[in-house]
Amino acid sequence: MKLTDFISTKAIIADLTATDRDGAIAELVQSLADAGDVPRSKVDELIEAVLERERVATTGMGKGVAMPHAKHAAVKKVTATIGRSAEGIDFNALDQAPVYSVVLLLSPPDQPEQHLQAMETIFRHLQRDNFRRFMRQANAKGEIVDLVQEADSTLNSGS
Amino acid sequence: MGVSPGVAIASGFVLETEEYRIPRRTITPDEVPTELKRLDHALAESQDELEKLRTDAVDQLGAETASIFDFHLGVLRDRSLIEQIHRTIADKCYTAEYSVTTVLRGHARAFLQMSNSVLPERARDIYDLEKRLLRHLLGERRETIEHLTEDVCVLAHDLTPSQTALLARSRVRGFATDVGGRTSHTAIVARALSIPAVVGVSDISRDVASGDTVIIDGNRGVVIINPDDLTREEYNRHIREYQELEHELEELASLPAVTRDGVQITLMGNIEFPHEVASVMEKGGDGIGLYRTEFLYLGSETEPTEAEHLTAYTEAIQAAGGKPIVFRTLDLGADKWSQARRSEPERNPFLGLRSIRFCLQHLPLFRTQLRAILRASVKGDVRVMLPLITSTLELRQAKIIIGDVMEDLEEEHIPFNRDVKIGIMIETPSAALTAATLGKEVDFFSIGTNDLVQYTLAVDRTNERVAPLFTPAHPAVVKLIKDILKAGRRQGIGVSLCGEMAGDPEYTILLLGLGLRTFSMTPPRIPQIKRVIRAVSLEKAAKISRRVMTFDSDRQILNYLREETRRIAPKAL
Repeated sequence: MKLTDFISTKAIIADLTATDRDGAIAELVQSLADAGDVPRSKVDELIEAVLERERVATTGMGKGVAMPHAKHAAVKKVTATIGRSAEGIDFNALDQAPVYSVVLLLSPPDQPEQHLQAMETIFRHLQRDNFRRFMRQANAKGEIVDLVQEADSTLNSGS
Repeated sequence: MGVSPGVAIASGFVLETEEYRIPRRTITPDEVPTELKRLDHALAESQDELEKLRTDAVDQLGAETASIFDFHLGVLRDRSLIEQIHRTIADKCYTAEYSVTTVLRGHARAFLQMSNSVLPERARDIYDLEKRLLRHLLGERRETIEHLTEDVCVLAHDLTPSQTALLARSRVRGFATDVGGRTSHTAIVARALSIPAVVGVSDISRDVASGDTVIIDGNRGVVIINPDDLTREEYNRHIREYQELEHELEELASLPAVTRDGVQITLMGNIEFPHEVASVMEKGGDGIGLYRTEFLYLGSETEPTEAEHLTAYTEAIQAAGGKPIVFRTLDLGADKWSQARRSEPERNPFLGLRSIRFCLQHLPLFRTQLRAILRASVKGDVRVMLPLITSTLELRQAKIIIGDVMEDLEEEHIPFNRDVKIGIMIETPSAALTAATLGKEVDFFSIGTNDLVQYTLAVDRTNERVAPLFTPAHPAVVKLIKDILKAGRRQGIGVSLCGEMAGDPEYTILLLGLGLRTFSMTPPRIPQIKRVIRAVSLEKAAKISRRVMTFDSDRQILNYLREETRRIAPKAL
């Protein structure tokens, strides 16, 4: 699976206004709704689902990245987007370190395989120093879109 | 290379490679029905034979090992394949023997070419099956390990899976092969059966003639052919002493593992098959410190299902009777199984996509196993251990997946233990050096010395040209272990050690002195290690370990430890 298969480029936010976890998640879910990827009427429910998941265990995985996610029936196909924060967001990560790149992933409950494949793809890219660094440095939406597309062509999506 | 300890003296039995040469012979059309009947008879006989082998293997070796016969049976029942052999006889008028050979060999070649998706091992299974069918067709009585009348040491180029499984019910006292490694199928089965085995002895199957007296020394990895009287006497004495020792050690099994100054030490067993739990308990083990789950993957052609995982895990948990079992998640990568699944082999597999890295890039496979472990977690004291962690990033990714799996189970109303303990193997220098940080996010550590030594000293222990450089007594390794134990203490989490070092009595005092309180080892070692523990006080051990820290060479450290161990627990070495 490629990043561009499920990342909504339209919804990418190069400069998150929020400075805390809950705000950043709300902003990204709203952006996906504005882009038409999830129903506007379900925004609140989706935010709550992601936060609930986050409260059980943080998805701040260190090195300045977090991957909040949830499964929800209002989502029709696996979809994700990226938010970047120049100042850094307190994500309640175990190391207390700020998060600069947030990849939000929403999946329908009946597509567990695609959900896992998407996570696998995200993990694979986040493993790379360059990807994390460029994402953190990108300060316009176009740059993040380019980065995502480039990432797909550099790393063949494998098996 | 010795892959299964112990010593055996018996007459040699060379298993021929059994290269049948089947000439291309044609038959007349009116002979076709007879030929077809011969074939069907051979198929039926082989099938009966395999069914029986399978049933026996289930009893003696457990379901996973027995599953190697499922593949054989599956091929025999494959209608299209049988049809193909029938057609070769009927349409081309070839003999049944020749038809079997051409069709099966073609099949095996096809397997070899599909190296991307299928185990090359399967090709060997097909050759194995071919031999079986031919034996029935040619009416040759099988002079095999099944019909032995005396104890033997088996020598072979390599053992096929079905030959290995036969070892269990035969009079084979030991075996040696030309090829193979520690993790080969034969080695694993030999250890499970406690038969001494030596592999990778080039040309051993040619150097020995059946009837020669052969000594197989699995402890030192040596095979001696026609020993002189002196050597023979020496080994006989050794065997007697060994048996004597076994008896003494049996008595130790029921005694507690307590140091002279009254501190309780936990001794656990490392296992690969669920049925080995029993031998850990027999030896007085306090649980399973390392359940290697790889055999589930290696034993069958397809990826194991959640139900298959669960069956094996449940069996192990029930056998443990409430004692803890640490399940290590899939630790494959630098091996045949996963290399065969790659489009191109990795240049440096030990530094490649193995273990937790492999799992994080094959999440559906990882999820299947995690689901099974979590479902098993309500049945006993189950703990999850993640191998080859090198950074918090990997650890957190793995924990995110565990969290997701838990969430799925919850939604499906499948019970599991939400508070299941999650720990990591510390087996890379990076994990050892950052243990203080990693320790904040896990419930326990287990030091895997085999990989830790390999990665710290940059030595591949399976490469005989550098193998002598592989030693846990290297000051760098000792220092890392000390630091890991310290990090665990500060964080208040348990630290165990599950590498081969844990089962080597030469290191017991040092490890106690450095602060180790939980040892996990291959089950037969438990009593020996207990003997050392019962002979030493922690105070003395600490003193010895402090002295060790002042040495600067592995030779010096090992000599000193040997000397001290000999003084404190003379019988342990």
